[in-house]
Amino acid sequence: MPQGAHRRPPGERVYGTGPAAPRPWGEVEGGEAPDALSLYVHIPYCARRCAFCDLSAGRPRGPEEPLAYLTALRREIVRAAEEEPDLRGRPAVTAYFGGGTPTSVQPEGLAGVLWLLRNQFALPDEAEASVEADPGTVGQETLWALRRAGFNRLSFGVQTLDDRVLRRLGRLHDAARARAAVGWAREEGFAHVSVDLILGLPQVSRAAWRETVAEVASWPVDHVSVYALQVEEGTAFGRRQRAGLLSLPPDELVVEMGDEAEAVLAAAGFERYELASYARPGGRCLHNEGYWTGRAYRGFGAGAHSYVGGERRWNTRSPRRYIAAVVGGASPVAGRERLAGEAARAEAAMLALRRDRGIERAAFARAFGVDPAAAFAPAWERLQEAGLVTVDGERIALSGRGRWLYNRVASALLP
Amino acid sequence: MADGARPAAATGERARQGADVGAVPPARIRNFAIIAHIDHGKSTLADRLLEYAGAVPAREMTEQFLDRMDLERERGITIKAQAVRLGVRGPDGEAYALNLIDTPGHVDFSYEVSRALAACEGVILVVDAAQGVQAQTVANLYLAAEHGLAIVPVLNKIDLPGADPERVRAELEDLGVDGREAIPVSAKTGEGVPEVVAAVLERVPPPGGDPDASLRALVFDSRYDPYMGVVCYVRIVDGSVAAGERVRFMATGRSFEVTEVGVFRPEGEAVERLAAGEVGYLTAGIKSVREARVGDTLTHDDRPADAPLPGFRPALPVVYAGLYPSDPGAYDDLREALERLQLNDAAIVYEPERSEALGMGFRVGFLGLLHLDVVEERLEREYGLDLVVTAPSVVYRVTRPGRPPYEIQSPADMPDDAQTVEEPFVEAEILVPADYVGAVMELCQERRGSMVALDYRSAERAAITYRMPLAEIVFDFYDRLKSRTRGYASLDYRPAGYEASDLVKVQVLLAGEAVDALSFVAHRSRAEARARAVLARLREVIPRQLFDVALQAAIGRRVIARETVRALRKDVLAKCYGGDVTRKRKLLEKQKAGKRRMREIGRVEVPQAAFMAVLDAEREGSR
Repeated sequence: MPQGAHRRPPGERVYGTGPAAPRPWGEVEGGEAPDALSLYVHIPYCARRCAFCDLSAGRPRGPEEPLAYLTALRREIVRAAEEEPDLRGRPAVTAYFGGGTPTSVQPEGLAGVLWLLRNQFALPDEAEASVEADPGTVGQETLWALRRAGFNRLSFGVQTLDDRVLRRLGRLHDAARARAAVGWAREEGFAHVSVDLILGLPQVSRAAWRETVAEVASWPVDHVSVYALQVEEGTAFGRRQRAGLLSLPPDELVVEMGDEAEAVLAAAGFERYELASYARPGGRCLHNEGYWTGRAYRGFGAGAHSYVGGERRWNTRSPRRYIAAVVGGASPVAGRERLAGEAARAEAAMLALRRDRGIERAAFARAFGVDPAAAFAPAWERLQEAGLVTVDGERIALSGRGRWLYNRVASALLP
Repeated sequence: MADGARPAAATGERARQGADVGAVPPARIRNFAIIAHIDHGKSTLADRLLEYAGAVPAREMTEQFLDRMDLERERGITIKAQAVRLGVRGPDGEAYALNLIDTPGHVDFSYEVSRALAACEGVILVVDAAQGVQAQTVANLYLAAEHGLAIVPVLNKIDLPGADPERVRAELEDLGVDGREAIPVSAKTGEGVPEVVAAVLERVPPPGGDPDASLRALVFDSRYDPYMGVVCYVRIVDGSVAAGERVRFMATGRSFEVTEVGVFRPEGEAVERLAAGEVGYLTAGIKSVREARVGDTLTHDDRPADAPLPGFRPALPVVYAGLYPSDPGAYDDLREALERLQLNDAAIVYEPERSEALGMGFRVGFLGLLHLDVVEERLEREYGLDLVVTAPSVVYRVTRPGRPPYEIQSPADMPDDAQTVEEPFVEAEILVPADYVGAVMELCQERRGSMVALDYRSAERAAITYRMPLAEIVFDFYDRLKSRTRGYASLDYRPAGYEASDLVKVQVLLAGEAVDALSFVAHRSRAEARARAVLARLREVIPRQLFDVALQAAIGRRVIARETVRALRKDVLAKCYGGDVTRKRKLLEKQKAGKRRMREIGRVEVPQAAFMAVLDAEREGSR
């Protein structure tokens, strides 16, 4: 088979027919090359499991496991750079270390992996390099080391500033510690700092939520993520809910609290540029923008997802199986799928709608050869009638109410 | 050591206790049933008896051989009666034929039970030696007593550590059964089984009947077999019958030529002739079980009996429900499935029905709600259909100005200008321990009943007869009766004509549109309470939509209850971890698939469960 032609790997599932999306379908600030590439590194370890989290992250089995994991990561990266033709020559534009809790491994280990990424994929020094951090376990020393290693953006999982609730969530920090961590991040020279908050946690009063948001908005951070709590099976919250022990605020109240957060953040100069993301000018997360606009990304590590050349694929979720596969010279890939035609268009639309720019009609038409207003015409009609989307010559975007009912909008587009 | 004390592994040997019986004189026949509270080991004992007689080689024994239908096995209930002939050698060295008749166990099938018991002279009453006498022990014992049957009490599960045979003997004494006669048995290990057989031979009287009189055979069940046509289960009361003879069903008047007579051992085995006292089967090229009704009497066409056996009642459906395919394209499949099912179920009647909300479907008549459940499950399981079932209703008789009265089977057909509405009444007979007479009367009064008779059959046992509306009985009366009498009551009822009642049709409106499939008929005094309960239930099952959905219940134009399903405010996924777009999409796809299973009525998406809301509300309300 000739080089460059599409080879279908075994086990790949194909949805839809026709060409896959070859180019990004949305634009990001400052523009970027159509073949730009993002890099993601997954660290699957956590000191503790939080009550709301359904990721497979957990404690390593013994002190050697993280070291073996880092070795496997480095090996997967080198092998990808050398052996995957789709990655060759692409300009890498962002790196993101997520988890789990990346800071649960030694910063030197993360430094080594970031160094390798720069080396293998020519990631420029000034490119966005994010790392998620747990304010409960990082000290100023660690932040110093991460900054020295070349990370320039920190994302703190703060969740709330109500200490009583933090303890119940199983978090290791309190409000004071979170406040301190943000200060250290600035002292150590991180250009961008983000804070994650969770909306709709049990036992958070409206007043407490307002205080949390107002205080975070006053911090020296340029990005805030606000996620609505989702109770998942297999989490402590899920078990409590099943037992009837979880008293969640009613949807109406959650919506009011969410709208209030948006207003407070807006007053402090934060723009809601995506469903769950707020940024001050220049603070948008370029890496995440890639997910919503169809930029290619290559994820390394257990459970990491990649999207390259129109194919989505993911590694095995188990760190031990991942280590065994990579060290043994085998592929850690656990599944893959390729979206084409209608299915690819629908997924692109579903992702693009998360952004404030919505589905940019021109960019979408360039990528898919069809105007999105025409492609999903009956759905738009119904969604407009219900007041969930707005359609104009340039874009199709969610209305204020549509943002709260994103799932309804997105599922209406699926074939 | 008694033979029965050996472990079950010795069944091969025990099989030698069996005897090959061909035709035997009535003096060496015993016809009996096994009755028990649920889980007291009725089916296991039946299996042991089969093994003992060598009817089934041990290696071919599947558990609970008698319950053949999967559905029965799963639910632990017997729907159809079964009959097996066991050959055993008696103490006199002669071969005896034991005919074991297995009976169904629910009030929907109480008529079938009574016919099966009418084919017997005795019963084995199985009581768990640890649990002791339970509700159904009593209810079943009373039924057997009503039929005048000999009782062989058995204390089962004596191998259990908690077994207390002496206490249970005393409990039996309290019921008027001779506790000393109770035989200790472990149906699990086989211990005591030979003694049970000996007791059946000794205590159950041989059948009477005149072998030389005109043929009278009781049809106590029938089932459809694709190869043989209808197989009638018969008890020959007088005379005899053989292949080649022409027989007539005395109730339907249809006559057929007998193609085969035989017995079950437990597989069907043809015999030359079935004579008075015997139990077996008969085939005659009958195409549908509707032509061979349970309880009917078979006689010879050329030498008919003077009178049929007493107790025949045509199996009439008492409740009707709409059955609609979830996929409108499956209408023809549903029709075909109902046609096939009817071959084997004489009680089902159906006719096409059109609902504005649900499209084309069928109005189907059932014996009761369990029967409905069983039919629905069979249609879904055996025919792969996905169904929407509307709330069941009884048949009302309506008179409108200037027209003769007519019947309606669906609340949707109830006209607004009815002059009178009559509803079916039944005479319900309840057998209950004397202590519960008060509780039963209270329940019957609540259900608009009027007492007909209260008859103490003994110091401990009463028979209470009430006349009451069928609609008050079919839905949950049996469950309520069981719970108020701690399970000790048994219920049977028979039609007792129509009577005018103050009934109204309650319409349910979704977002201002009347939904025919949700309307129901209620007594005026209860209409409002029921309407509120139905709307509350609908509010639970109808998911929030993109707009507020008004739920209203109305009599004519007058709204008597209202509720609102508030618009959905929030439906948004949390974080997209590390570019896992696939998982997100799959969640949304799942959500979309869930929506596809709903019915769109106007702009409102309605799940299938909503159509049962009327019934659910009824069940919950009386809890």
